[in-house]
Amino acid sequence: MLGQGESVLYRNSPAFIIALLALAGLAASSTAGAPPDEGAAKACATTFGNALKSGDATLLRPILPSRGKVQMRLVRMGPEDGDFSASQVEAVFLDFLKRGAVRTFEVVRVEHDDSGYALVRTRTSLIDRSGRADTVGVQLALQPEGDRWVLAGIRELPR
Amino acid sequence: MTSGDDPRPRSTAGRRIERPYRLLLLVAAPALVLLLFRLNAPSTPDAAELTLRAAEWSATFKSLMLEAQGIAAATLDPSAARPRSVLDARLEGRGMIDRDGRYVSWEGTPAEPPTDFLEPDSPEWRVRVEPVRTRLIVRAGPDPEGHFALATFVLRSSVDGQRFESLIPARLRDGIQARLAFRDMNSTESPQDFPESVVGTRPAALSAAEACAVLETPDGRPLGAAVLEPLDSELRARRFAAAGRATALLVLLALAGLLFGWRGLCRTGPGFATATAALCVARLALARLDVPATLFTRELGGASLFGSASAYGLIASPVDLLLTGVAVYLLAVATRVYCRELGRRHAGRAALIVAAAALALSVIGVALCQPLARDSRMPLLDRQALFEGDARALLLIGFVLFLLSAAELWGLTWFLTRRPGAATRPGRLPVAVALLVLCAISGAAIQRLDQELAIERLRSEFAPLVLEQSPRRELALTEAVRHVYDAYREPDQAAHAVDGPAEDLAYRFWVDSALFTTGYKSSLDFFNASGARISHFAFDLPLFDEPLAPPLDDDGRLVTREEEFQPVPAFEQEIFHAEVAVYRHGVFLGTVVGHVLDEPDNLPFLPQSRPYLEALGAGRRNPDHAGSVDSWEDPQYVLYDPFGTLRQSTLVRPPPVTEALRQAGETREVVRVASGEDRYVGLALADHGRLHLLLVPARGVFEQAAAAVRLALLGLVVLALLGLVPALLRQDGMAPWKLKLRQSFYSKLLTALLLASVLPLFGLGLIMRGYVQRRGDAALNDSATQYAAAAQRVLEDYVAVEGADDVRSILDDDILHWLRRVVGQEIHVFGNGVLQASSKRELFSAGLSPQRIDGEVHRQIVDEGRPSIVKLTPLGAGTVPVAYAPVRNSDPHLELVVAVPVVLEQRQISRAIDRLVQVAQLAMVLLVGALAILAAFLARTVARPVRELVDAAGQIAAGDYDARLLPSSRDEIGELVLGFNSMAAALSHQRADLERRREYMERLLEHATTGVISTDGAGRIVTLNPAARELLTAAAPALEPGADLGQALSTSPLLRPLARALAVTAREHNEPQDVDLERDHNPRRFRFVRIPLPEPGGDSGTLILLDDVTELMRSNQLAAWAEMARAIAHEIKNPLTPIQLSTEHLRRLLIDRRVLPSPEIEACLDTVIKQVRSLHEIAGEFSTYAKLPDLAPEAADPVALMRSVIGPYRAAHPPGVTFRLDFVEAGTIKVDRRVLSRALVNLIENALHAMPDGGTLTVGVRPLPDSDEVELSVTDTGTGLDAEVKRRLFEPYFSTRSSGTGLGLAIVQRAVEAHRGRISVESEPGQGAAFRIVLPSASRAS
Repeated sequence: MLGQGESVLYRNSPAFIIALLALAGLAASSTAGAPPDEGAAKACATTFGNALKSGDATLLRPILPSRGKVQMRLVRMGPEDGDFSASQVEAVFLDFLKRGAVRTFEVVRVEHDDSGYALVRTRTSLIDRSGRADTVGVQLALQPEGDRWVLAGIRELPR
Repeated sequence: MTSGDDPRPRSTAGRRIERPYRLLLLVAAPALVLLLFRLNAPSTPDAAELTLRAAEWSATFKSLMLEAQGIAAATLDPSAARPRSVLDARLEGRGMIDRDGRYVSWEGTPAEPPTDFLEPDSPEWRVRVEPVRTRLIVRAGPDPEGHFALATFVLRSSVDGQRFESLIPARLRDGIQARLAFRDMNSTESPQDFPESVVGTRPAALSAAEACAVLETPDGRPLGAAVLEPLDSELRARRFAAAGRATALLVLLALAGLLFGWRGLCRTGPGFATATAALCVARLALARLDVPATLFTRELGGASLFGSASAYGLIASPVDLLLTGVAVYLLAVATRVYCRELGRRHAGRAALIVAAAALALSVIGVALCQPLARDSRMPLLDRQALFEGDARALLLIGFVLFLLSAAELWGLTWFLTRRPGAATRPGRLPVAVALLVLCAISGAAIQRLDQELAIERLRSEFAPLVLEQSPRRELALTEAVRHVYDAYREPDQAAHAVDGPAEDLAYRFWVDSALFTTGYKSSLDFFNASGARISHFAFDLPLFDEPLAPPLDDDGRLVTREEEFQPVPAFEQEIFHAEVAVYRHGVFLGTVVGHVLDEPDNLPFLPQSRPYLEALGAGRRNPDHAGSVDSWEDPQYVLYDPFGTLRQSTLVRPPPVTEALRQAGETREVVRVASGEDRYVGLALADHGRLHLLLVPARGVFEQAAAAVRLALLGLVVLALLGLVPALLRQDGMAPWKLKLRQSFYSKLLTALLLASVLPLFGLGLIMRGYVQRRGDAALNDSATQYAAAAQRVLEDYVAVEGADDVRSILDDDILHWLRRVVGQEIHVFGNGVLQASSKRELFSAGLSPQRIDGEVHRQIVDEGRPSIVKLTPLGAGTVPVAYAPVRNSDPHLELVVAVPVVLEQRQISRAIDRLVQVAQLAMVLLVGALAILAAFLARTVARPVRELVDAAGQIAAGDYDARLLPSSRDEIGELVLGFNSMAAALSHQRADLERRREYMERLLEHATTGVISTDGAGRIVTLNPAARELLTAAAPALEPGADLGQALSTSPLLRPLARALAVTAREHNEPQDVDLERDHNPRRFRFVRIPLPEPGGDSGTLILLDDVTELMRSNQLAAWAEMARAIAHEIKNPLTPIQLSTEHLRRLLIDRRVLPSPEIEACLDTVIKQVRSLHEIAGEFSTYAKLPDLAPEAADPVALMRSVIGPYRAAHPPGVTFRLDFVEAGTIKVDRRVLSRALVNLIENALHAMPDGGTLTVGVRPLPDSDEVELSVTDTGTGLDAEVKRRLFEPYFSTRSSGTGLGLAIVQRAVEAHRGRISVESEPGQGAAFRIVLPSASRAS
């Protein structure tokens, strides 16, 4: 479900559409089930937010990839900058949540196309490690893994 | 009791302090630490303090401005002295400017002079705010010639982490943080309003806990402001409290070890359990208290570089892993101590426990490879990175400690199975071998996991980027454009992007967007409401001039389309276009347009983009993360079209398309391909007939071996340090090792061989490394020079072909964009030292590269006319080699210089060098290992015979003269062994001979009748033979070996004359001396001789020969008397016969002449005859005494003999005498009856004479008990003898009677002694006398 500012893409190239269809088929053939939809992407982002709000980083596990790394660029929740394994991501947020806190988490927008990749823009109010309260934008990059979305990137947008 | 049973701690402190006090100390010390930390908790500066600090910040800034001006002024007068300044390190460049505002000369890369530089009221200090740097531009001058100086300093830089705060003294920064803002020189804002506006960017006004420091110039112009606020007190307090807890815990552990002695504690089961529990609790407490994350930086104590959420936080960070490794190692040490003690009693059980623990630790250690490889962002075992960075070092050391713990226990297992119960320490060699094996397994496992993870990453991360590249580019672009729209609708969410200088808007939004994070070639353009472009930023895309769509409504809708453009004629490329109308509070502000190149070469991981992306992203990187540490190398990418034609490749020699590759692409299997000598592994991806290859370098056996070797080396270093550090901490330090080295020929030989073989190898390695590095640099220079020459030719040709008068007008970014495709590298052109055009303009507009060419480069190229030079030039946080060359042109006033950065070549050459060095390193390690083994073998071979010789010599020294060696060679060592055997045989013979001699001498001394005493130089008795003991010890019991001879003799009054005689004659050796002593109340004469015994290197000892010569003297005397008696008898007898004959003849004559009878004459004649007869008798006795009778011994019954002798006397019945016979059957004796009877008669006669008034005469015979002798006795009850008479009784011619010759008893004695018997007398005056003759029995006499 998209809110205000829903993307309306003008795709005036038939080749592009064909390519997308082909890619969609390819993606379908490479996964066990149907690719997750935008609603699932938003749910994935919400899971991320709930984990942070509850202060329990172990709740991130369902949305962490079983393979590969997660690209993170965090400032107020970090600082962290680089590619992290799933367990490392959990450890980073465990560490952050011991010292800081996330008060609110709101999904602003979900950008998603048929290729099986989604960008979720969120707004988060938090208290950083130094105890300073702030509101920051966090962009989550999601990619499908089987029939679920998993985190591919977490990027805190500079203010 | 064994040492293991001793419950007392072994440490000195533990022994000195009683147990209750130890417990008290154990509790009190950590509590005291906690109290101290609580009392010294950091305080927060209050408002007054902050205000004071703010004033000092302002004053310090003014001082800095004056220092900066001094540095600038030094350009005009280099001889002027000036103090050193913190700004010296921030100087970017400075130069001299003429009256026209142009640089006359410069050094470094100073900023361009502002346009109003020469105006009279132009500011002397300005600040240039750029996206990644804030610079200070300072003017000085003019000098008398009208020249000005301009210097540029970096105030802060997010590229390389230079902070403005570090220019301020530390005391002014303690406990506070600053929010800084500088006013750009081109800002239209009123300078006077500036500080307030800075504060206003945050919450509306300063809180009570904040203070503002205006950073203004000495002439009062504000350049910036700093809002000072105290650091979060709660955070500081928390960190300080954590430090206190950690310190207290460490104090607790250290004290527990010191006071209770871990080793001593671990020897018992309960102690071991206690130590284990303490270690586990301590480690978990450190994790629970979050000590690593609190005390250390995020790289060390956090999960930034390594961390895993598993294992209860025990491996949550590098420090955590290290602490866990230390705890496991200590646990292994405790296990080792306990099991060694247990092994002395139950070797099998101990070995089983240790083996199980070793196996468990080995499994854990190898299992750790998984999180190490997966949860780390660092290349753990790459050559370049092995010892770079604290985090990596901690991580590897922690991991090695796991392996070392297992190795320690494997070593103990080996020891317990080989030598159970031995008191010696287990050797380190088995531990080292076990460690090497574990390191080899783990190193190979980590490399293998790295390879698997790399392929996994290709599949999960890069494959979608390739297969879904177009949608992803589109998504990134639309997201970036929409982000601008959102930022202006809600400006507080992106204040930094919205509020900054307008010309940098595009860069700031681009670098914040997914376009940058994904690395796409793209651009952003900002247009104002009237359609004028106000900001542009492009990464590898040209500027597109295209009509804008009519403004859309404020609904966030995007206009997107695909377009085509021609970067060069006849070459079309597709781009994706997106634009959105931007509104703020319903007011149309303008339009934002974004483009992204939609071509296969626009992939974010392609190597030509990576260095520039890293540089461009530096400004958005957190200052705490000045550089990315991710170890992942971007994959190699190869693209084939459906016809198999190569379309794109990052490999110099891409593999040809094969059917196998195509099939692998359909199934997306892992493929292995070769490119020249390099091997790659990766994924083949088929996509609409095209084939993509994503490849990473294959990590084969060589790489796995190299990694294993590196880990093993690190393990050995840790093992050596763990052995070395305790030795250094010991009181005697390295002395035991030095002693061991000195005492062992094998160790010396091995050390010498190792040094002689390894040191030259290391030297050679260093030389080779330097050579390879120089060759690499030379190759890079050659390559760069070739690129510069190519660019030079292309530019000169282009300028010549265009033939324009104004060369500047034909050299722009678009042309260089085109020319770079010809050259194959980015190109920058500088005109008169200033950037003229660039194919990578974004680097300069973002402030990542200086707009002015380096002064030194300009001087060498332009002034000195060098054809080309290569120089490292700043690019973002790093440097890249850039080749410079002059470009000839028709304008005599324009000095053109072309610059070509050779980024890819640098990486390729660096990779090649790395590979080469890696090969050399591995070869050297293997060679060193082989040499070490060879050296050990050689040393052992050479030292073994020597060792055996030493052992055999030791056996001989210990008395085993049968030790022999078998010669194992025919060389000098073999000869030495043979010589040793001969020597041992000779020694054995000599020893046996000496033994025989010694026994002979001992027997001699033992049975010698002469007393032998030897003393050392100090006069102490060394030898005292039985004869000497017999002679002396009755009088002097202290006379024992070791006693002082003189003192021992002096203590006895009886021996004192001998002591005096020895003292007097101390220097008169070899002369027999006599001394009279008393023994058993009898006077004795001793004769001694002193013989010096020289001793090596000291006073000479003495040998004293001592004889009791009393009997000898008496025998001599008796012999003399006998001789005299014989002579007298002879002389008397001779005249007696003529006298007697003459007297008788005279009688007959007198009778014939009738003189007789006359009574008077007859009386005279009778008297003469009578006296002559008496003389005859005397002479006869003399003769008897002098001539020992010839014995005719025969067996006789002593009782019968005695009866026959006494018989006549009993028959005669002398008046008053009573005879008493006391006979006991005593066997037979062998005697001359006649001689012995005469002697007995003599004794009986003497007894009867001694009893003139009668008495009892007792004769007796009895056998002596315990002896084969018979005693014959004659006892009277007569007048008795006094002592003097008794002493001289047997002397010849001694008599108490006037009529005797005094020879009776002397003859008796001679007769008895002739029968090998002895005679003695017991008598006291008035109590009679008893003469006893002791004779050997017949059996003994025969």
